[in-house]
Amino acid sequence: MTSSLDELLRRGADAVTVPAINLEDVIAETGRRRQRRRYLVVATAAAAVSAIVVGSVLVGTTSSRNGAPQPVGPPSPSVSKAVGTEDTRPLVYAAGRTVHVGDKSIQTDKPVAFIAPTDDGAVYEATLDGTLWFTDGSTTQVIGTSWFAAAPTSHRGVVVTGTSGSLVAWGEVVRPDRLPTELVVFDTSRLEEVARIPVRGLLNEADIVYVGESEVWWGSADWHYSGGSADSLVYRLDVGSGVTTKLHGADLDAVLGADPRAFRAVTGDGSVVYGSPSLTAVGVRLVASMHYSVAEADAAPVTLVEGSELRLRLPTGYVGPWPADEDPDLGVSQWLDDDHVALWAGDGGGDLPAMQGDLLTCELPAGVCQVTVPLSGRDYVAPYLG
Amino acid sequence: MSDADDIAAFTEFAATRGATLFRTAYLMVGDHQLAQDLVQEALVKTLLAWPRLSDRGNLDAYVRRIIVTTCISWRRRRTFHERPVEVLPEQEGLDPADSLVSHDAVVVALAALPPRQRVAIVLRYYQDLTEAQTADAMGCSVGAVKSQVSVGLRRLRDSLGSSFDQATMTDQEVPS
Repeated sequence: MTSSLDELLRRGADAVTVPAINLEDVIAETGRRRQRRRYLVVATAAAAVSAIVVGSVLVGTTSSRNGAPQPVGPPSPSVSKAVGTEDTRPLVYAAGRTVHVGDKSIQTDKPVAFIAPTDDGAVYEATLDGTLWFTDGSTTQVIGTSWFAAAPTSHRGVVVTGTSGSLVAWGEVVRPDRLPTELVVFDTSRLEEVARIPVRGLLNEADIVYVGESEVWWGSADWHYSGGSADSLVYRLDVGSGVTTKLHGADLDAVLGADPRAFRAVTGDGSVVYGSPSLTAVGVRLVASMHYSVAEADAAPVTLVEGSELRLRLPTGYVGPWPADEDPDLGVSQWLDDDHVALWAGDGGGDLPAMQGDLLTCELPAGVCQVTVPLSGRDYVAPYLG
Repeated sequence: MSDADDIAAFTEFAATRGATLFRTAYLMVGDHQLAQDLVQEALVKTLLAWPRLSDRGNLDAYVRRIIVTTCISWRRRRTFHERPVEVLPEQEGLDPADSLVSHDAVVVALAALPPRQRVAIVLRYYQDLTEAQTADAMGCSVGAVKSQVSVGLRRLRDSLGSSFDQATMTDQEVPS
């Protein structure tokens, strides 16, 4: 008799003695944390008032004269030197309460748990908070409310920006006793909401699957559970006209097929899949592959829009932050322009994206990467294409 | 809804779902005490968010997501994430009904995997989630789930030998 893996795991789990959950402890600890959060809010507000008062007194003096220790931040991103065109997006990431947008940075009230880029700056959300903010690196403003706020690292399909353009789309709670049913689209170049439409099943079985420069696509339950098959239903909102069109996965594939900022791979049966590649370091070479089934042999080489294979190299002598006994693991964080991407070099087993490690910038035609923001050993949050 | 009503509803949820949550957490961390800590932490986070949880019918998915993100984020703060398995449990401990590989050996080998691979395998094979649901719980793409499961299964096969391969491989998983 043989056992499938699910049966073996079920037996393993059933064999363990389940302890009684001490709900009194849970409730007491929750109360303590609520109290701490109230204190934190009060303390933050008081600190802000103090900063305003101190700032008004010290105008015209150097910052080092206020006696406070200066925070040691990571080196300023040098991506503008590495890329350097007007069409290039600023590299965005957050370290604690500091949001970096290219060479600019801005402080937030709470540690940032989610961040995504647009052409104009960064959309971000604080830990344990459903409020969405946008900053260009100089000013910041609230742009809306997201969903699943208590687990903010899980924003795939919840809060989505495009690889180019100024649109950010998310699902918003309409009534407190219902699932979120409104798709909201905000334009960060105009700093205004540009669309709000009801969408059945949004964020339950229908994820936002693609944001373009003037359109937002979301999948049906059919698309969701079929893994994006060509004949499954998808919907496209044209933001300019406000018209929603019912289409199929093949139509979305056609858009992705022409997108210069999309990665693709040809599967064993000849079909093309799109997604975010896995990058494994072999010496200085980065082997890019896309998995489309649980079979290891199905990892396919990754190509770019013009058909060339994605080939990247780490800087000579670079030693990543990954543990010695794990596969060196990197992922694509964000597109900067058609020829440049930023990668995170993670530790192979942590959060998605890695929250410790380095940020690298890679020039795709040459396949050359350089460390842009060394953050090894310190927590940070970066966008994640996956 | 008042605080008392919230507490009552939360208590009922925790009492009903506690055992399943614990078993899931146990498979993810491979340690009884840590699994208890993980469930307690997930329940605290759930109760903190309770007033804002509008869809009570989706609580399982919500708490599962918290367990997954908490389990993975604990990685750098705890030491449970690496459990090298040089010597597997003796084969005479096999379940008589299972002539190939024991559930104990699978649980031990699972605990030796990196967190994301472990979580992906538990969600796919124990929780029986689809790839899309697993991706949702882990906050990653379906492709990333496939990658994690693929590498995780390969490592389990490496640890447990061909008997595991024969026991668990389905037609869908056989590389062409």
